[in-house]
Amino acid sequence: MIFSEPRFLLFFLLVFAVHWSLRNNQARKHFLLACSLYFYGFWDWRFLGLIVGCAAIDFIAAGKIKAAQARGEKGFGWMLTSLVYDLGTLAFFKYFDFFADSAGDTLRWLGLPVSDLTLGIVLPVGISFFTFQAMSYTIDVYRGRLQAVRRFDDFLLFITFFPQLVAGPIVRASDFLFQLETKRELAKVDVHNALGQFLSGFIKKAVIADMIAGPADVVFKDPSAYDAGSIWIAVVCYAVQIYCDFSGYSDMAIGTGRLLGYELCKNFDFPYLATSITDFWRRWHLSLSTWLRDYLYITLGGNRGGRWFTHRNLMLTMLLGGLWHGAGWNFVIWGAIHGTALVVHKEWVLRFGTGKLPFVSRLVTLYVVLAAWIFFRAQTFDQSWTMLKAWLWFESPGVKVVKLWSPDPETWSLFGASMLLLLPLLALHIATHLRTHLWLRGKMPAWLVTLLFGVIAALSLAFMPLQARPFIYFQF
Amino acid sequence: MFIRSALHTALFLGGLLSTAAWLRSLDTLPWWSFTRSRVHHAASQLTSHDTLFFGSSRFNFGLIPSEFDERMKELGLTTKAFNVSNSGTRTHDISELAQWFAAQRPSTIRHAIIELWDWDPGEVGTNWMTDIRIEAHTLRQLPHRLQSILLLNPTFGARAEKAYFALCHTAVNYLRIGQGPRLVEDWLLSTQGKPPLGAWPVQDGGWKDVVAIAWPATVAEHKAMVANPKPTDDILAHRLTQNVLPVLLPGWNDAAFDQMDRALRAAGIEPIYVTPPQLGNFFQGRGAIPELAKRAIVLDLDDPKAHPELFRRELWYDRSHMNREGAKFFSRYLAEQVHTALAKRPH
Repeated sequence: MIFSEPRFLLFFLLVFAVHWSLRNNQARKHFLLACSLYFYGFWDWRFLGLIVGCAAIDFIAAGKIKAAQARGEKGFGWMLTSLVYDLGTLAFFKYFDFFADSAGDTLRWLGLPVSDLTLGIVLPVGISFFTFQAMSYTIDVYRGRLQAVRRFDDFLLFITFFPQLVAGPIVRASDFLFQLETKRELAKVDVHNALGQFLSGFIKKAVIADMIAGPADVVFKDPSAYDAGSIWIAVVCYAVQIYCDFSGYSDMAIGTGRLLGYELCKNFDFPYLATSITDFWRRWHLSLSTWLRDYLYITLGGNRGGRWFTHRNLMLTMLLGGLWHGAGWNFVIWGAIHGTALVVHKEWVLRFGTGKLPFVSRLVTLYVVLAAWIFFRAQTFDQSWTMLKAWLWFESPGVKVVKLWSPDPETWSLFGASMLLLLPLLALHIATHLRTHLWLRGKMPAWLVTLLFGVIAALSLAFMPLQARPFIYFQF
Repeated sequence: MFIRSALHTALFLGGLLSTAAWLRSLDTLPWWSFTRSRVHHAASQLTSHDTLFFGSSRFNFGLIPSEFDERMKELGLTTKAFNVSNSGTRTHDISELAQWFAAQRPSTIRHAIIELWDWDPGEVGTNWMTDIRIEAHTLRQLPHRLQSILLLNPTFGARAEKAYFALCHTAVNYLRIGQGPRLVEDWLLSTQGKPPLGAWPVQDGGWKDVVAIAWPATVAEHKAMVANPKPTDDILAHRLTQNVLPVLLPGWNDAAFDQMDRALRAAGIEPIYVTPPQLGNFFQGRGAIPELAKRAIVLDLDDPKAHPELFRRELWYDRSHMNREGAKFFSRYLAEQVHTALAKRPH
């Protein structure tokens, strides 16, 4: 059940109606919890035990940490228990096969006989998100930044809250749990704002990302057959696709949460307008980047040591950040590229100061970010290398050409329409950046805004492709 | 608060539905899947035909309009037939297509020869947005589709799942979900006076040779039948003694039939219903034929005892579809049957 299909619409309409018709806050929370568990169980009910178990361990650990701290101890053992359980779960389900496979390859390379070590483990949906969310809670309690929550049902709702359950944002306990304490009021919900957020996410995902995926898929499938220009088009298309796909999901999650009276954290802030790679990570997947900063980079020592110590921490953080995205060496390389770029940028700033030409800085940043996406998306290292050579030196591995315009309507619908789709994205960006939508809303009567939403919804539905694609970040 | 919410919901739906209606009004030809070329041809040349064949692949591969016309001519009746049948369509889809043609108020069409089969809506799949004939999921068909789903599915789960898909497909069609690029393309082409995209020139009056299609499943069935004809012969032998199989569920939806029949007659088209011969499948709604025959011309050709000529194995490509020779024979045979039926009916 994904946000862009009618089953979700039916599910959400029911949740919305019942949620707001319940008067008792506790009853509402229990209802939301039941719905969230149903939502997760809809993906694969076998993993319900996993997510509830994860929440239970962290809830107990946090309680024990608090009790230990009341006795004047630190409660380190319980914090460690929580981390070992969460990371162990993540490692087993997400990385066991990857490491077993890599170990097998290494041993085979050394000439040693090895049988297949992989277990073919099914990856539970959203595992990277809910384990990180749960871990941040126990660490915050351990660090004394957060009070341990008293009610398990509240904590379980925080972990399983369905709008953000499968692909984030990675909500912090400190940002969410306090919202559960007070009764939400429908009158305080800015429905236009929430619906607008959901609609903009829907357009990004269902219209732009799914449509523009076509040219990217064609070239990434066999890059050696295409010329350099086509590879450039494919890389740009993929950059747009992944941004629209993921930020679209986040927008829909935030909009859905708002409609239920809950505020989720912002996850994107015009990342492709970043003036440096450091700036990029202040704008891309904010909930993960701040998580990595607060719980990994700072724990490693952050920038409290020398230059090389800081660089080491940056590299380690980005390598692990890359691995978080997926169990594959391509993600590690992607993380390494970003880590290296961050180190280079830090050195540059130390030596030459910040750039005086923001437009040039933006272009250079975008060029590096897009180059890194090649490793994120390509299926093999050879393909990545082929595409990287085309990206860096405009070296054409093949002769096939992706045309941006063709008199043949069939070709036009694939590539030309994809390029045209950048226009609504650009309009959305500019409107949000300039806060035009807020200005318009101030000028327009409420009834007109609602009517306009209906018109936009119909047009978005008409222009979404008939082959819905799963959200890219669901696999993580 | 409640009134305000209701008002805004109505406004939202109003914006949504009126935009969808506007998009639909731009649609130059609301048949866009592989139905398109034949529908476009027939619709744009409505005045040059007087007989249309509506059916599934059995008709599509089995009826050659020129052979039909020639035999009719030999029998002293001039016809100009066209085959609008489409592979993969079910009876509800056929009904919708026939009703759409009736709504065009064709002045020259006198007869619609319609394949009579179970009213199985065939709502299957995992993608709510796509179905083989999404455009045949109209609001007028929806109640009948739901009724057929109730009739043909014994369990609540199957009924709920199929009803969900029927509702989704109708919404997808009505809201023109995913049709934006096509609408723009069609509109651009219409401004240049060109036919819509995908409306390729039609040959052989809409008939298709089953060999030219070469679906993997059909080819596999063909090979299996050639390699081992005994199972097919056994079925035929059984049908020669008893032309029914135990009917699990009623395959007949009288209300849906009435809707199609009325629409055609209101447009001045006389429907002629035909159960096409089959080697392997059975029309589950056979029980309805005697009653239907009182209201309309029904040619029950799926009867090996009454029409053994049609069941000779050399005429068949697989158990469902006739080969080229079979199509020639069946077209001429049908012409004779239609001629006889028309001559017999009271004027």
